[in-house]
Amino acid sequence: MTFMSNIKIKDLKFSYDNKNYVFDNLNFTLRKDKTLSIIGPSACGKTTLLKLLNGELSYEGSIVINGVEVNEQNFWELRKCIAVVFKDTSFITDVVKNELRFSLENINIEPTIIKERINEINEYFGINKLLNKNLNMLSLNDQTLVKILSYAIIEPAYIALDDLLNNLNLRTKILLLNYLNSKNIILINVTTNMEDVLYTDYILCLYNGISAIDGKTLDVLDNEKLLKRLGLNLPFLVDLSIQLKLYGLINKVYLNKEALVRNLWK
Amino acid sequence: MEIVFNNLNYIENKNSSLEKKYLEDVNLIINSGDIVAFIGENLQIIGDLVMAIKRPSKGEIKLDSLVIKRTSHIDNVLELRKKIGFVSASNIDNYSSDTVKNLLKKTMKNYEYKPSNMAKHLADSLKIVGLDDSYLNKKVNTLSFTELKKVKLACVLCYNPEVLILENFTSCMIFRDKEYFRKLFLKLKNKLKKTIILISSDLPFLFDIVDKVYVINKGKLSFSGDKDIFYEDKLYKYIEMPEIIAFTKYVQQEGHMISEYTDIKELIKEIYRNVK
Repeated sequence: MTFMSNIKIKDLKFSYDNKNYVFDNLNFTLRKDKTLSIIGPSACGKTTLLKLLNGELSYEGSIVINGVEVNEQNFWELRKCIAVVFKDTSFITDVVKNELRFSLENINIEPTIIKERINEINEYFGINKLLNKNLNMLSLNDQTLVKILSYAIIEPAYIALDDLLNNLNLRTKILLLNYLNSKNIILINVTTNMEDVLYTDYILCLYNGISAIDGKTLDVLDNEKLLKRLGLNLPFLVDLSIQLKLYGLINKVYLNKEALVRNLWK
Repeated sequence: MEIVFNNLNYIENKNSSLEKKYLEDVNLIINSGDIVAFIGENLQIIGDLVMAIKRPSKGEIKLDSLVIKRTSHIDNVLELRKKIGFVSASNIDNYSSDTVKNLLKKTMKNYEYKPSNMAKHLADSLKIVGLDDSYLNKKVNTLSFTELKKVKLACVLCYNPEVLILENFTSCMIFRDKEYFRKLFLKLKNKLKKTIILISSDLPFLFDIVDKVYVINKGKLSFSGDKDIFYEDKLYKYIEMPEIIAFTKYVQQEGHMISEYTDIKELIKEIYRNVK
């Protein structure tokens, strides 16, 4: 069997109360090795979709991650396919080191490998000072990083974050994204901070139980009117470029300010 | 209500390896009817201290004539708490299976608030935060993250406090919701003379609405200032610079004299005028 790293959602139907459907025939495919941002108005089902991917809820239709159907029987296998970190996920142990160790012990990894992986993370993020600190003593930035790392250390195929990049400062954010990249862990990022969508290849915008629009990041962002109607804004430089293009001052969308300024004041 | 912090300290587990400094020697005055912002870590403690849930380790808080100290006795804590609404970011009450209606009713009962028309008051409390009355019969644990925040704010507004303390209220909200609350807070300030304390690091949200900004670093008040603080470099030692400020600063650095704006539409007009 060829190893296919992708996510296929077909005719997904889900409701909490059998009356109001959160998802009504949602179809979406995330192609091999592509990162994804999930956006949409509030209460459109962003967190619910992550719960479904995590196998926490029963549903109609089909969700297949890397060839594994999301259901109760495949629960064990799914843990290697996807790790989901929610906003209200709390810590289990007391100090940072134990928290990282715990998630690996949980899936039966050998002590020598555990040590190796913790060392690796320690070196990559330079968190030597943090390792023996109490989790309550950390800043929000460090707490969020540890929370995400305690899932990333399992090295799943996908890691899904529920609006957690918001809590990280820019330096940590870039470091984390590079780390995930180096480990071939594919990011699925639910976000309300539209600046963050530029870090991923694809966007899925949910609305009213279906995908309002999905596709490559810049193609989706080109639908300025639709996104604004849904109450979302655009990343600052994209928004600025689109408006200045309308004024006829530039002719394309720029993603870095240096190039934009160079082309504006020629 | 004027709020004064006099040499305020709050330190947990002092002189142990778990010592944690929340506030250290903080002196400031929050004027009645202002919107102020606190930027920093672990600042939910401000809500707990002003509500007299926790007591200062040293120093005092003055609320009009009332003084909260480590040892002072407060005759009627309820009278104090009726005047203050604290929306914390903690998620302990997210899992309640109560309905929104019961939650609002319970809160009003706790704070001895008796509206003349209960049904209307319940609907109005939700309306003001942008939710319709279909939410009254929804269970709290079925609400989304943002909806829950709105309900929590409704629960505070329903007993009509003088001071609002909101912790990370706009985090994880989409643009439209933020715009809504920006207008609401200004309305609460201008029409109802509420004092609003925002504990937040969402600078674009704070831009146009704050009267004063306090930056707390490692428990100490590093500096404070009015709206102009957002253009000062020293602020960005502590917090990420918003894109619009970074862009304006870069353009100025390149030698093009454009004015500073916090609204993208105004900035675009300014660029147009400058380039043409």
